[in-house]
Parts: sequence; C-alpha cells; structure tokens
Amino acid sequence: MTEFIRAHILTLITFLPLLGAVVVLIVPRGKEEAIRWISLGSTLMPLLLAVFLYKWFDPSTSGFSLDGGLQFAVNVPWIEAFNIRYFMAVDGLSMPMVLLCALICPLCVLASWGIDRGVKGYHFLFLLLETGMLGVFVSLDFFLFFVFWEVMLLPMYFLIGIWGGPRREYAAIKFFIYTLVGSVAMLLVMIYFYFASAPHTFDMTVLAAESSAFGMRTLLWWALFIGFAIKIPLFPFHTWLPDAHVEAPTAISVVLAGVLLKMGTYGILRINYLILPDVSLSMATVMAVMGMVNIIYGAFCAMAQTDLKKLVAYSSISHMGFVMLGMASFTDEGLNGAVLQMFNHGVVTAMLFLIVGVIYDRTNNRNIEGFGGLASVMPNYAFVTFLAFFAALGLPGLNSFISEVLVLLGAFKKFKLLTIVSATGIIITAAYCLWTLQRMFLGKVNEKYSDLPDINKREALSLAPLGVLVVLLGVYPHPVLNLMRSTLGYMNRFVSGG
Amino acid sequence: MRAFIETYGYLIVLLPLMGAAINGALGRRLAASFGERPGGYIACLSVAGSFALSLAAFTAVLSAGGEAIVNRAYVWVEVGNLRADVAFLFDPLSAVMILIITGVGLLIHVYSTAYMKGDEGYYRYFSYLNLFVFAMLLLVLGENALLMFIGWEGVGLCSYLLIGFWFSESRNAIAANKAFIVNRIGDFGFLVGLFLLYWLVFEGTGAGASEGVSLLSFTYLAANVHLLEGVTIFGVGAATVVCLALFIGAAGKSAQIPLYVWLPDAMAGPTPVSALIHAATMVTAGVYMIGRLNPLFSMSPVALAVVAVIGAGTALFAATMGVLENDIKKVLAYSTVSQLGYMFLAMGVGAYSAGIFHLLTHAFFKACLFLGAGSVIIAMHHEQDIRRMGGLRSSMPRTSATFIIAAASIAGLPPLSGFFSKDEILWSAFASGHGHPALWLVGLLTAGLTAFYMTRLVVLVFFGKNRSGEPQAGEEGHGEGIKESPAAITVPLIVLAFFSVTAGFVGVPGKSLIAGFLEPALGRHEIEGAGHALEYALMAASVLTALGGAGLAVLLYIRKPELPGLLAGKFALIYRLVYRKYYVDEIYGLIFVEGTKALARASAFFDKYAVDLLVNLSGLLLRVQSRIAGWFDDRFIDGMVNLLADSVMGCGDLARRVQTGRVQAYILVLLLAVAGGIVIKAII
Repeated sequence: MTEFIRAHILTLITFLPLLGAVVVLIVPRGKEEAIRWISLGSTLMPLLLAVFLYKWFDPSTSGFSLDGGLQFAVNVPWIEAFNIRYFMAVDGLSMPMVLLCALICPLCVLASWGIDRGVKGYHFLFLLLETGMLGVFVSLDFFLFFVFWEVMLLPMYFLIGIWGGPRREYAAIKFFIYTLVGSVAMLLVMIYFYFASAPHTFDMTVLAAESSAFGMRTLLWWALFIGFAIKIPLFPFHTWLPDAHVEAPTAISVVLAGVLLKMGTYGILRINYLILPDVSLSMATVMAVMGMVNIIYGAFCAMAQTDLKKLVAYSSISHMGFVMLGMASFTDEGLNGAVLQMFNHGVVTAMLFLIVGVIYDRTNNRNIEGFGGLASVMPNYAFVTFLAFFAALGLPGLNSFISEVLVLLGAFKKFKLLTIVSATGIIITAAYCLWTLQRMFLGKVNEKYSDLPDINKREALSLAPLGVLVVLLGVYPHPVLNLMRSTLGYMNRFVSGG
Repeated sequence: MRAFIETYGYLIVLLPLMGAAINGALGRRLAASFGERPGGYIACLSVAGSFALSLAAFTAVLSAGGEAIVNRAYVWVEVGNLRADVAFLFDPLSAVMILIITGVGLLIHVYSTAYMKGDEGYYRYFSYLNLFVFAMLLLVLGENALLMFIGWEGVGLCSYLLIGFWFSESRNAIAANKAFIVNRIGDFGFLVGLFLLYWLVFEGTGAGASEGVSLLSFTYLAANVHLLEGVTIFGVGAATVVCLALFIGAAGKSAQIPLYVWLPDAMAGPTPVSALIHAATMVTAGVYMIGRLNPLFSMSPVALAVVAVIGAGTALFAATMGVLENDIKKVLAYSTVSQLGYMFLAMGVGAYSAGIFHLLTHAFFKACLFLGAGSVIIAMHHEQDIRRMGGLRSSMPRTSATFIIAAASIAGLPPLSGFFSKDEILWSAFASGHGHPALWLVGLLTAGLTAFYMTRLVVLVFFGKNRSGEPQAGEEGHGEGIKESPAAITVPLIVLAFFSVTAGFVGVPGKSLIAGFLEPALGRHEIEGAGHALEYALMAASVLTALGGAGLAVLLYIRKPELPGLLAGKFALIYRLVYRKYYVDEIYGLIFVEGTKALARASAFFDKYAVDLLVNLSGLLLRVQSRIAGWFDDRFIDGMVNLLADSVMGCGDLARRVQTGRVQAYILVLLLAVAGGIVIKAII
C-alpha cells in the first residue's frame, strides 16, 4: 500500500479532488450536507498525502532533471503522436506550493459551508479547481501544465460569475479575459518551443537543456512574462484583481489570493528562469523595478480603500511585489525569500480574506468606516485579525518578516536605492494596517453592531491552522526554508551562469 | 554559574513569555473563577523568576571578567550567506540592562497589581506587560542584529497595545497608532542600516564571507567592522552611512528629534506603562543599540557628531516644552525625551559608559517619578492637570517624599544619583576628544531648565494650597477625599527612591565601578589633558545652574505666583509658541499624514480612472466589434455554446452568462493580433 502511494503520490494528490468532484455530481439533489462533507473529505485527502510527501521528500538534492532534484516523478507517454507526456514531479520550488494549496483548500471548504445556493455546482467546480491548481504545480510537461492551467481558469470564472456579489459578471468577465490573454501568449510560446526543439517535445527539463538554441528569445520571454505577470498581478496588469476579489465569495477570494497568484511567480521561476535563463538574467532590473512599483503603488492604493476586501486585495498586490523583487535579485537570499514569501503570503492573505468573510457574513457590510470598537464586541475575532494584520505588516517574530527581510537583504546586494525605496513600503503598510484596525476594532462601539456573535467553531477551525503557521514560521522558518534551499541554490547558479 | 547561563540563559527571556501566554490564553477564565489576583501573581512571579536569573547572569559575567557568555538555542534562519541564530549574548552591557529591565520591571508589575485593580482588562494588561518584558529582554540579549530587531519591534508592538490599552477612547487608539507608525519610520532606518551592514561585510568590502557565518552577530561585527575602513558608498564613508541609518532607528525608538512626537502622546497609556516602557526601558533601546554597536560608531566621527548634536538639541528642545506643560505625565514625558537626549549626547561624544550610567540612574528616578505621578493620579481620581492639584504633601507623605527625592535626583543635586551621571556626561561633552564646549553649554542650560520644571512640578503638586476641590485628610469637604496609596504602590516607590539616591555611587568620578565593569563591552573612555580643577569648576557650574533653576521656580510659583501670568502676557508670542509645542505636531500632520493620504488617494484615483479606464475602453471597443460580428455570433456560437454547456453542465443558465458576445470576439482579435505580430516579426 505504502509503496503504491509512494509511487503514485502526485497523481493521487492531483486527481483525488477530481474524483470527489465526480462523486459530488452523482449525489442526489437535496443532500447538501453530504456534498459539503464529501467536498471536505476530498480536500483533506490531498492534504494528508501532502504531509506524507513532505515527510518523504529529500530536500538535499538539487538540479532540474530526473537524476537530481526532481522527485516522485511519473513520466509516461500520454499523446504519443505529439510526444506529449504525462510528466509530473516535485522539487524544492513546487513542494511549498503543493503544501500551500493542499492546506488552503480544506479551509476554503470550511469557509464555504454557508453557501446554500447551487451547492452541488459550487463544490463540483471548487474541487475541479483544486485539481487544476495542484496539477499546475506538479506538471513538468509544458502541455500538461497548460491543460491544468486552463482547467483552473474555467471553474474560477463560474465560481465568481455565479456565486459572486452584485457586479459578479463584470468581475468574472474581466478576470476571464485577462487570464485568457495570458493563456494565449503562453500557448503560442509553448507551440514555438515545441517546434524549436528537436525532437519535438514539451518536456520542460529537455527544453531547459536545449533552450540555448531557440531564437526570438526576448520576445518569447516577454510573452511568457506578461502571461504570468497578469496572474501575479504586476502593475499595470492588476486591475482585474480588486474587482474579482470584491465580487468573489469568501472561499474563492482565499484561493485566488492564497494560491492562484503564486502561479504567476511560480511560472516565471519554472519556465522563464529555467528555459530562458539568459534573458531572465538580463531583465533583472526590469523585474526589480516592477516589484518595487507593486510594493509601493499597491500599498498606497490599499491605504485609500474603504472596502475592507478591496484593501486586502491591494495589500496582496503590494506583498507580491516583494516576491518579484526577491526573484529579480538573483541571490540566494532573494530567491529563498521570494519563494518563502509566496508561501507566507498565501497563509497570511488566506487568513485575511477569511477574516473579511467572517464580518461580511454577520453584517453584510465591508465598509471599514462602518464599524468601530469591535474589539470589545468580538474579542476572539479581534485577536485573529490583529494577528493577521500584524503578520501582513511584517512584524518580526511572525512569518512574513523573515521572507521580506530575506528579499530585501538579497535585493540590496544588487539594487541599492531601489531596495531602499521598496523598504519604505513597510512604513506605508504599517500605516494602513493599523489605521484599518483602529477604525474597525478600536474606539467607540457602533451601536448597530454591539451584539455581533464572536467567531464560531467552524470559523475558528478554518483560521486556527493559519494562525499557528503565522507564528510558527516566524519563530522557526526552517521547515519551509529547508525544502527549497537546495533547489533554489541550484536555480540561482543555473540562471546566473555560475 | 557560567555553565548554567550558557545552558539555561534563555529562561530569562522565556519566563515572561510564558507569563504572557498564560494570562493571554487563560486569563479570562482564571479571572472568572478565582478573581483577578492570580493573573497578577503569575505576571509578577514570571518577572521575579527572570530577575533572579538575571542576577545569576550578572554574577556569571562578573566572574567571567567581562568575557561574553553565549547561550545558543537554535538556528533561526540560514540561507545563502545569511545565518541568524536564536542565541543570547551575556556581556557586561546586557547584564546591566537585564538587571534594570527585570528589576524595575518587577517593581512596576507589583505596583500595577494595585494600580490596575478592578480594571476590566486586568489579565490582558498583565499579558501585554509580560510580553513587553519578554520583547525587551530579547532586544538586549539578542546575539545578532536580526534577533535584536525582533525585540526592537516587539517592544514597539507592546507599546502600541498598552498605549491603546483603553481602546474605547479613540484618542488613545490614535496615540497608539502614532507611536507605532513613527517607530516604523525609525525601524525603516534600522533595516536599511542592517542591509548596508550585511552587504558591506559580505562583499562591499571585498572580503567576502564563507557560508554559515553569522554575519550579523554582534561578536562577528565587532571583530570585523574594521573592514569598513576606507570603504565608501554613495560617495560617503561606509561606516558613516550605516551609523546614520541605524541612528534613524535609535531616534525613533528613543524619541529624538525629529521623531520624538509620539512619546508625549504615548502618555495615554496606563501610568505604570509610562514608567516601564516610556521612561525606564524601551525608550532607552536606541541608546543601548549605539552602545552595542560602539565599535562601528567609533569609526565614524561624523556619525558621532550627528548623534551628539541631535542628543544635545533634543535635550534642550524637549526641556523647554516641559516648562509650560500642565499635564503631570506630559511634563515627565518631555523630561524623558530631554534626558534621553543627554544619553545620546554622551554616546555621541564617545562616552559610552557615561551614557549607560545615565540610563541606569534615569531608570530609577524617572520610574519613581512616573509611579509617583500615578499614585497622585489615583488619589486625585484621574485628574492629571497640575493646576488643579496642590498641597498634596500633607495627605500623601510617602508619595510626596519619594517624588521629591527623585525630582532632586533628576535635577542633579549632589550627591543624588542624577548628579553623578549627568555630571559625567557634561564633563565628557566638554572635554572628550569628540566633545565641544558648545555641547557642554547646551547640556548646562538643559540642566537649569530641568531643575526649573521639576521644581515647578513639585511645587504645584505637593506644596501650596489644595486647588482640587477634593478634601485632604483632616480637611472639610465633599467627595471621597485624597488618600495615600496602598503599600503595593508605596513600597515600589520607596525602593526606587532609595536607588535614585544611591545608584550614583557606582559611578563616582575617578573610581567609577560601572565604567570599569562595562569596559570589556564599551571600551575605555579616557579624557586626557584636562585637569581635575577644570572638572570641579564645571561641576560647580552645573550645580549652581541647577540651584538657580530650582530657585527661579520657587520664586515664580511660591513667592510671586502672579508673575508667571504676567510674563506670559508680556512674551505672548514666545509663550504661545512653546505652549503649543512649536506646532510641530500640526506641521507633521499637514506634511506627512495629509501628504501620505493624498498620495494614497491619488494612487487609487489613478488606478480607477487611468489604468482601469484603458481596460474598460478596450472592452468597449471589443463590444462594438462584437456587434459587427453579431449575426455570426447569434447563429453559430450561441447555439454551440448553449449546446455544450447543456450537455456538460446540464445548466443552460451558465452559458447565457458566458455568452455575451465579448469573450469569443476578444479571443479572436487577440489571436489575430498576436499571430500578426509574429508574422511581422518573422518578415522583419
């Protein structure tokens, strides 16, 4: 049994949610509760397997081939006519992402318990989405990667478009079009890669090895980069995000910010960096500037928001800027910081969106100015919110601090002034976080909300694991850092030509 | 003892954290079943335990002859060339600091059990207070700069939580925000200093480093800062740039010009908090930081000069604001800013041990003053305006006696502790190699002003007529009356007053014990070429100035009480300027707060109306285009999409939503555009 699981663990992790989705489809009408439990079970299984994966993963190997670095590989032909392979494996870059995704999905199901319209469709789509996301992180055949990428896109569109807020259609279309632009660009590059390689292949490891012969490198790089930049999202491709977040139901916002955004930076690291390393290196300054703009611009935009959810959305833009900056530094500190920040941001922002959901469920209100004194009305809620916001503003001792400091330390080695400007982001972030807390939780109690119930067990259950990680990874980041160190060290040497 | 600290030193830090965790997690339940007292006991015990261990650590350091003892817990972060351990450094400097923190901290915890009695958030208060002690200990014991930074911002967090402790008052919450954000500005400087230092030690000096070396550890830095010699960055000496960046951090935490504005507002917190955090410990962190990094600062005369000038300037500037203040706590707050300025003056002239010596004596007399003020505030039923006090000497004998002693100490009357430490600083400012007579003169003026405003405070609170409308013991009148505080309050006062008197004797000029003890950490600070005669003359000058200041206050506020009003009328402009604190808050508010908000609004506006406008415009264009392709759409794609959706999802409704005619057209155009681009590219 263990042997079987071990041999097929990535397939299992990826497709168990899909299996759950199929089961959800055949559950008869009127059994909403059963659907929710099935959905929870189908997301918990990948999590359980991910824990085993973590246990079995050997963090010491590095490289980007089956001989070193890639583990738990499955590599069999899929569509032989086009040499398309079913090629899955994990390394130190994908491991944290798989863990993050597997962790966040069950929490989202918990947060979706209150959805009572179209339960079957919702959970079907959600589970399909999880398969898509996990698939993206484990696929190393470009075609397979692309298939999962698209699989992920469609459920997202419907989840926002059907279960979203008042302007859901606008938001969903906007999301869809933006992401599609990225997809199309990626598709064209993929086809180019296929025909440029000899023999024709979609295998990323082979493409990485042969890529130095490809032409039109800068154009290809930009096509890929813009596709991924939309996902991150980098300024000026970001305006779909606040709209999508505001309209999306809580759990979908959580997945969107917690996992989906990371696919952008993951894609850049996996494809741009490994297949077009020389162009990536030459674009370091461009990427760093974009990271800086995201950090500062996102923070200022966040400060001006009165809608709590929009504020959190813009804070995501700001925090993803740190990822970009770290990646652009091409230093060990910066790269590790960037990937750690991807993980940490996933945890913190998931927490923040869950927190927004808690108050919105109770009051149907997200206007920051509309609250006040909630700390005395909902003390436990206040505690988790303070924890999450302080993590977001990078309080030392909590998780984001370490990743942000690593990013800045690494970036400073390469870009002096640019990093200093980026670091002012921590001041602006502190200002808008504290200002938000003050307006919502401190001061006089708003009579309208003086008897709101504190967080319930289900909400506590969805927030607690994230809260624990926020503290634990701040005090002891080793469990995540250790996963990625060798892989990213290799990657840095590979790209920097060292 | 040494082996014990090497193995168990972390307990000093851990105990208060455990106290905080217990009160934080179980406090409400404990209070519900046993009343509030157990929470207070747990908090006091944890700090008491930490104090006992600190004594052990102190003796260990003493017997180690000042050699540093390190207790390593675990590797915290290890990436590339960065390694930071969770490890604690015990050397003379940190040993003195932890004794102050846990010793004064313990007294203030005990005091708080009475002061906070009956408060709704009693357990929450002690949880925060313990957490503060934890963070402060981490700050001073951290073996590397990154760990120190956890404590650095940790104390900021606790300060934020405690200033805003009574958060249902918006005013308190706003003061808390202000404190944290101004501190963040400082922390930004601190971080930039760290980046610079890390980069410089790593490669900027060309020295490089092997993996696994704890680059930011203080021992490593102390041994390697010499590498920075002759290195420049941005065209300026590397050491200078690093020190100035770090000093921004110190100025934020220790409330120096231009970042002092948060401290007076911080008085919104409970008074024991003001005593512990905003007088005795946290605000001295900047002084400690310079002490800790003294090998670095010593390399840059420019940075030292900046520190000295800012310190002296702040000392004088804040003292003038204390002169006209009427809130008992705010007088003390400005006085704290001013005294911190003295400490920076000492650091800036290279007299590191003199700075730490003043930090020590200041911890005693200022904590005593704040706690005394708290005792008065309780007795006055939360009245803080000294114009409505007076004559409290008769009903509060212990509070008034200890307060007067501490006030005399801060005023620099011999042979109280403040006299010795202040004099050491003034002497160094005058005669040290980095000193200058002008710095000494500013310090002297400040000493006069200090004596003046402290005497004014004492006179207005404890002497003269009772202006409160509340009866004192033995007086007729309505109200609950003014009574002396209980033992939990007065005993800490007496202990602190005792040390306010005696602590100075560890630093008697010529045979200073403390300077000798600190020497392994701070180096030796010799003043050469200046005779003792000069030293005694300057000493006499400062004592006379202090007496003059005090005498003037007595004259103005006892002998001729009508004079202050007359003077205020005569110099109305200056009076108003000082009374309104030079309008600094208003100016900052206008420039920085409103400026930042305007920038934020501008960004959001740009986002909505520029970036998104383009997006929506292109959407509109495509919609027009889609009309043109409408007939095609209706007949073919509509039907196909519906069919597809019906069969796959069994839900025709969904398809109607996708099918708005835009998406397909968009893809089509996009594909054509990209394909066109590629074709053009290929042709070229």
